[in-house]
Amino acid sequence: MAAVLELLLQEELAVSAVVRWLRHGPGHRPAEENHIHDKLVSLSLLQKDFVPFLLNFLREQTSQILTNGPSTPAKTPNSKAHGSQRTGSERRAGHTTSSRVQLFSQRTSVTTCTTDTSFSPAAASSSSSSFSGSNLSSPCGDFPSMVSSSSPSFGYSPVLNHGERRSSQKASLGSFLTATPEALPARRGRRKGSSSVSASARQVARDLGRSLAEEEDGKNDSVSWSGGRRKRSEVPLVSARSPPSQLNLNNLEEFPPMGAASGWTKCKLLHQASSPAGISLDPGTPTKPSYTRSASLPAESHLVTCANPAKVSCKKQLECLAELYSSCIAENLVPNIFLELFFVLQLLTSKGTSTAEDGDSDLEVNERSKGGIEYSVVVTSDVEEWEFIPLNILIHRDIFYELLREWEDNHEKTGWDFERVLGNKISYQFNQHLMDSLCLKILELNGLTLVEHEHSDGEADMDEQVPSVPEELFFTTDVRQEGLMLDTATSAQALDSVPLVDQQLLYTCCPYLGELRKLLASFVAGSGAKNGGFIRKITPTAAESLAPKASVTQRKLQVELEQAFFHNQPPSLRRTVEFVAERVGSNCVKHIKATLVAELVQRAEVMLQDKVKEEDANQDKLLEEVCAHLYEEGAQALIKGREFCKKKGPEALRTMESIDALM
Amino acid sequence: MKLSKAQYDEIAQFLGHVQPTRQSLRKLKEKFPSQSQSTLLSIFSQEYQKQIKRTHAKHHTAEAIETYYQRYLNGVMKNAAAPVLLELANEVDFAPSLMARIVLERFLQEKEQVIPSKTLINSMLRDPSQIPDGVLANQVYQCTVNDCCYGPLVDCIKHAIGHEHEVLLREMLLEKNLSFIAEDQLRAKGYDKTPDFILEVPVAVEGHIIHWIESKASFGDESSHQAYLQDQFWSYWNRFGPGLVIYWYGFIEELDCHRERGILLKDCFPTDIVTLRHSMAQH
Repeated sequence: MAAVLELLLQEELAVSAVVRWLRHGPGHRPAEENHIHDKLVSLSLLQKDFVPFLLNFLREQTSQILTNGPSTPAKTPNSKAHGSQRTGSERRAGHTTSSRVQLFSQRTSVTTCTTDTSFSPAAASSSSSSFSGSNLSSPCGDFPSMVSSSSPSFGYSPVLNHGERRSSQKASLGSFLTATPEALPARRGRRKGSSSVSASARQVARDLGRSLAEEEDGKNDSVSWSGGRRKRSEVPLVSARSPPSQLNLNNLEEFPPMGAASGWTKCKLLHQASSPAGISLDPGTPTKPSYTRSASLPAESHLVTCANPAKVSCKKQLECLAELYSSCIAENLVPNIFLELFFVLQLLTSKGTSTAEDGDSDLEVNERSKGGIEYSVVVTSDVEEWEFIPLNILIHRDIFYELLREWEDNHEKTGWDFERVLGNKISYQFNQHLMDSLCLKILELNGLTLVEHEHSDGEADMDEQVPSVPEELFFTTDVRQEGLMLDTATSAQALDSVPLVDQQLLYTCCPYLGELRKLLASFVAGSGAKNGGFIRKITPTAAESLAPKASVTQRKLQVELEQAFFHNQPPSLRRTVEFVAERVGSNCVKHIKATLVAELVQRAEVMLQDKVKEEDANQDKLLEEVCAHLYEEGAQALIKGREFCKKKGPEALRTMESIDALM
Repeated sequence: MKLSKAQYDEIAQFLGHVQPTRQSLRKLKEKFPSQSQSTLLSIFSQEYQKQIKRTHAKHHTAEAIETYYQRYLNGVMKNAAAPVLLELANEVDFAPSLMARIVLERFLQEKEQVIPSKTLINSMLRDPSQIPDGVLANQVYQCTVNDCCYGPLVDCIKHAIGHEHEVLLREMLLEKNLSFIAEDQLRAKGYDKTPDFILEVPVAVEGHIIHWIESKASFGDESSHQAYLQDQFWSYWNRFGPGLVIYWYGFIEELDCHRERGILLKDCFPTDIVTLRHSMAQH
């Protein structure tokens, strides 16, 4: 995998060659026909896993500035095992042989990030991937050190409510490559808790990066930071060029009402990507060619002049990387556009030590987020239609499930044509039912009053998507048209002109937007790089009981007993019990805080004050001393607290009974 | 006292070859000294009942009834004090009480020229002094007291034993401080199918949650257990959830196969009971 990158970065391969290689997997057609570069032909097995590798790599390289995404993602055991054992200063020697051996023995498979797109990298254990980290040797600037970012499997940053799903995915590609010794200089990076990106991927990337970058011992953090920062910003600049800016949803030619949508976006993007000169640019979204020419855009030139050429010593390689990344996005090779968008935004909004760049990044951010929203609308049309069939087709449910199973089993096989194989079996009744449901829904919605809102660009086409009836429901345009015809023509027109889609709807339909907004908001608010821009709120909870706990089976049994009890009672009883318990608990806590705890705290304060005044005070240990003194009294307070609770509980219940009796 | 199927079959087989007499019972006890006597008695009784049920039709044909009646009349004519009905019953391998019933019914039919009601017959069997014929009354009485499986006397005894065990169970529940609702209260509340005791707060017996307990002062053999399952236990389960059946005189252990589904069998009051309690009370 790294070999491919190496070839690219050593300019033995053009980005376009790599992209071609990626797009045409092995076996479909002979390599010559696809004009696959010779050097890549032999690596055809790696083709499927290259994109995830690249994405991982990019995350790794930038992980230091993108610490801690919006929520705490699940960490896989793999990463914990590997990462936490790292020490900061180990030899740099590449133990090629050992790692290669490991490669073959471990056959973890790469997960697909999401299964939405038809071109998600397939899970394949490429045991033959070559590891040549130690062989890479082109010197360059220093990549920031490997500090693990807490991000899910592929190192993708935000973990949304789909985080649970991702966390259950298997280890990333990098888990093939087991621990090779780190060559991290001690000064590099704070080691954060390991994330699910396996350390071995990091290691590969690390070695790769290191050999690309020259270890510049003389540099201090801030300098390399700014250098790194500069490089980081290059990547997103370039990568974001094609998709957001070119998609104009108002252009019906480019965005025909679904049905034909699937696949066309790819064509469009490909077309546009391959002819950079013909791209119409949004102002402020520079493309790579224009960048290298340092031409046209004010924002760009601002960037160029800010960059310290002496520090951007790997410009060529970075540009290569950036181009590759952006091509991958443009070619729709990435599993999830949103993730990339988020990543890009994170990079842009992360703060380095140099403040000069902040200004221009704002501009890009705005452009990108706007583009992102536009782009989000298009992505959905690439999703497999079948996945969105509402399961309220209860008629012939069994047949339906059978069909579904058959589809699940077969749809990835070559030559399996949905219509041909299953067309007969979708009986007239399926379609009829579907149409009926749709008509019903339309009639229903017709009766609703719609709120008028201002809407931004690109929402016109979002008027086919009635909120609860996703576009993908429509199998064919015929069905849709029929459905509409059953309704009156006027109401269909009315729908088109109604500003149905408001911001809230957008945020509901595209949950990633919320994450993007959060990220940008926190950037604006100034919390920047820390925690990836998200301020954490700490919610105190009750401490665990000091008493010995019952065994798991015992506890389980208690829970079961409780549930069994409530099961046979009216639901109001449970609600009452919960209410009373909560109130009593809250009152007890309040009381204890106000009396016992307050008293102890006061005493502690006094003690601390006294001790601080003392001459021979050992400042560090002061707090511990005070706590130790008060321990005994603390224990007493605990007992008193318990007694209080024991007393108050039944009292409360008795009061409840009397109230109950009155009713 | 739980028996394996094999053990039970052995006993049943033995009983298949003997007359249902007290003598046979004694022999049974001698042959299986390790088993509890009450268990053996219960099994004995059940086997006998099965036997009787098998031959029931044979003894209720018109000819049979007529024959028995004539035999009775002839017998008491010769000697009114002789145990005519009893001996007749033994002779034809039929339960004395049932024989008495047949003859009594026939007698009343002849006398009143109308088919007597069940209620009347039952009450006469329970209280032979109501029988208009003194001789017959005596004969009936004799049959009743000499029948170890059928008749009002045995019914009384069984009923009393059953009740006794329910009282026992109630006391055990009280002792364990388990709150419950008894059957009579449940009936008063209007439930149609009720177990003997419903636990207001469910408990866990041997790891299984139970909501009710049913008391059975008999041996749980296959046929009776299946019948109970059908008529009672699954109904209780439907209404109240899983529960426990105590067969005080034992059962075939292979029948305790519905634990996971929610019917537990035991032959005594459980010792391993876990109640719902808050954690603070645990130490």
